Amino acid sequence: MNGRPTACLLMTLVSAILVLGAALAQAGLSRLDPPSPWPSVGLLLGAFWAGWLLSRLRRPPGDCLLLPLATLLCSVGWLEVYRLGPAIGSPALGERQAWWIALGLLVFVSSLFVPGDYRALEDYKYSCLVIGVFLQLAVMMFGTEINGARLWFEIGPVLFQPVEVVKILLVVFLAAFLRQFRHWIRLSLLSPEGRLPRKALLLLGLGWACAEGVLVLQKDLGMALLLFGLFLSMFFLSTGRRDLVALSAVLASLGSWMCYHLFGHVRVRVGAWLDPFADPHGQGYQMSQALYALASGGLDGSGLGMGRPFLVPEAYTDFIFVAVAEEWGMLGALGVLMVYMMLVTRAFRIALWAGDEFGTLLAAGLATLVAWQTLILVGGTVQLAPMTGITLPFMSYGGSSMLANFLLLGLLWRISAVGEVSGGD
Amino acid sequence: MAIKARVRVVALFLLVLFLAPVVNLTRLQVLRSEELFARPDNTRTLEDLSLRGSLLDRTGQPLAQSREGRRVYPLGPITGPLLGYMTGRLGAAGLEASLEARTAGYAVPRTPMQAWNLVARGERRGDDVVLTLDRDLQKLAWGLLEGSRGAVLVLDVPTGEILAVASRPSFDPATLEADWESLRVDPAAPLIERGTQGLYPPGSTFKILTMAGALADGRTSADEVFACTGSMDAGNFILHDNAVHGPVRLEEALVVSCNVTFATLGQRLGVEGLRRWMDEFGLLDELPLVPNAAAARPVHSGAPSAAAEAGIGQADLLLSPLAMARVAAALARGGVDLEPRLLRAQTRRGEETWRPAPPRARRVLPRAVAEEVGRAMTAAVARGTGRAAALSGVAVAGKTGTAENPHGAPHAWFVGYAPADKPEVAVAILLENAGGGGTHAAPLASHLLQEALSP
Ligand SMILES: [Zn+2]
Repeated sequence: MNGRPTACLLMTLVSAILVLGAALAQAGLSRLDPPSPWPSVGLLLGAFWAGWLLSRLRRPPGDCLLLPLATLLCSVGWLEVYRLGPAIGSPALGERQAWWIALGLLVFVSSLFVPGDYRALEDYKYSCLVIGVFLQLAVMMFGTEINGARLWFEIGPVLFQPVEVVKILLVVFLAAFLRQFRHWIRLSLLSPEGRLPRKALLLLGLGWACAEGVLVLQKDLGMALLLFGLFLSMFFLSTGRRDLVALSAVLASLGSWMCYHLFGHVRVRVGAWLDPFADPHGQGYQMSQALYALASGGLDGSGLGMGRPFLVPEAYTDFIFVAVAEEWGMLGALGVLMVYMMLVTRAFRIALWAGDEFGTLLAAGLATLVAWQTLILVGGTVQLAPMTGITLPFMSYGGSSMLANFLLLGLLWRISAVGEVSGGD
Repeated sequence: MAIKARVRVVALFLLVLFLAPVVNLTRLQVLRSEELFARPDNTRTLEDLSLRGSLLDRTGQPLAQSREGRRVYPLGPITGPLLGYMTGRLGAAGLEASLEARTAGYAVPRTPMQAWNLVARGERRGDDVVLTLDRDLQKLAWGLLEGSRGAVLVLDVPTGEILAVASRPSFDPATLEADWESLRVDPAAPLIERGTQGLYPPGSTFKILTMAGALADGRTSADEVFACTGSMDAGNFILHDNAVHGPVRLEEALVVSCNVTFATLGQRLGVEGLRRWMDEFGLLDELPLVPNAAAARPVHSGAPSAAAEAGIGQADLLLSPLAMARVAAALARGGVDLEPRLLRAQTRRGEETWRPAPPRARRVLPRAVAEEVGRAMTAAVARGTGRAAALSGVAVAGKTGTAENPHGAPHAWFVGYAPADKPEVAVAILLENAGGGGTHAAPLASHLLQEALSP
């Protein structure tokens, strides 16, 4: 395939960025006496290249640009996480993140070598649904509460955020379920006897209720938006019913309006979004600090290790994009957005080349997941939407999301491997 | 439409959505960057606090200094709202914010001077700023305000330097972050510095300016006798006096604070004439060496009675205690104004690195006019409304005020200088909603002047 030399070049570029960035970050942080970045850089380079070479061994070959694009995002994210660690008083942050990325690559490579076919997943759709719902309910009841939200399981020293896995399970379920019933849904909608599309409407209503339930019970605005965006996109992909999608969008707006008036925490979030400077030391603190970070970054940024991104609370997780925008400037931030667009485009391309309907729906669903998640998070940090607590794929600090995202990457790779063979590329 | 066609639609839709953050990043990081960055609660302008220089009083005693990465304020609430604060969490306010660029330390040099300091002396610490404040007088002024809301301001007459600015209520900078939530919603506004930034109706203290302006413009003379019947037609309402003073000469009118006389002079000068005299005294100007000082607001009201009311310091006229002290100081200098100042110098290890240009003396009034007003003020303290401000052995010139305002009881004022024959200090005292100036503000002036004049 003609992408191979480009991909190899990209992997080399990623390595160069990582090494150069680590040297710059270490120099910029000299006053804070940071831990040496080189063991972590060595680990990352080893993991990147090992993953790359192993994925080349796998036959039939899959999409060769997925891994270079993901590792590029990982590298930029890691450099910021490493750089923020000493500034926020946990110098080992970079080392831990390097291990998570390495484990993520292990998950990726393992997923390539699982015997069998990804299509087998279709038969486990209800298992996916049950496991997903079970995990979600379990964390709501037995999870550890942090900052007033129960989103984590505490397993020894690590925090596991099941929702990261639940999202992928949900995409698998939806892809399989909608593929199986899409004709039935379409036909039931079109039936001339005037039978109302009750089941389809029920399905849409269920999706809507799930999203609202997450919002109300877990106070997780970002996840609610993400679930709803994902559900609507996949419903449209499989059935093509624009009218019902429009109806759902109207319902969603109505739901948002209701939530705004019913729930204080939603109003507070929206207020902090629209005018963070009304209460810059209280509710608007994080957003106003994020705006100052963006403003101080300017066009070309302060330079890695030279800015003050640690002033923004949660800079290493929810606001990692702002940290990049401050230190790498607008040019760096646009570059990151461009890489996300390339990754998403690549994933949609896999959907187009997939050999079967399930593969198309699954790949498109995963692409949609990455796109919505990036858009919602970035939108929240650049004042386009209320700030939400979800992670930026491949960049935010955190084990659960890193492992889940590499699992997603592995799934895409498997679909592409089958698709390209039958596509005759 | 086949599934794959719809995949293209969804992909295109999502990719187009990516344009939104691109546009907004351009807006925030390039187009609005400077405006956002310059906002006052932006703590990014603060370099590492441990490298920051100190604020010193006129004798070099510290008023604000960095200790172990924090700012500490040895006088605590005594200099509270004037110095403001500087913390990583809340940002900076007050003089700390205004002098931020002068006291900033630097990890990386940004000017040739900083580069030289770094190379030649290994110096990363920011400069110190010497203020004109006198630590002891500041403590005394603060003590006088015990139990009141208001401000005390003391000016050095020969130089125009501010020796003390006390403002109550205040806050303790040591516990600011813990108290923040209650401080910011406190209706008494403890975060506001009242001496230079508080704007109040000046009441009868303004009569010294009305008198000076009318004499200088030839609208009256020292010999003119006014017939006070206890009230007058101010245009659209009847303006009442505090007494029926009968026939009074101009000087006597100031001694008894006759409203009819000064409302009449206000009418003769007109709203525009009064505004011009406020401008002549420099009250409408920005003060580059008193950061954050609020310029006075001349009359905006178009009511027919505005000129008469403004003549006695009412209408919608607003001035700071600093502005009234400046007027008194100009009269004390025989009609010469010096721009008030709070900054003395910038130093590094005791060596001056910056000093403001020496004050420029500017004649505002003919000497005779200033002396005429001064005589009337001296008489007002000797035997008029300001008797409580008198000192034994030293003649004091002053004027009291009882300023009506929409927020409750009148504000009590005293404005003056001493000694009357060879002036050293000018003072303005304001007590919010305390009542009569003669009974509440003037006694404080007596204590204050006694201490300020003792060597
Ligand atoms: Zn009278």
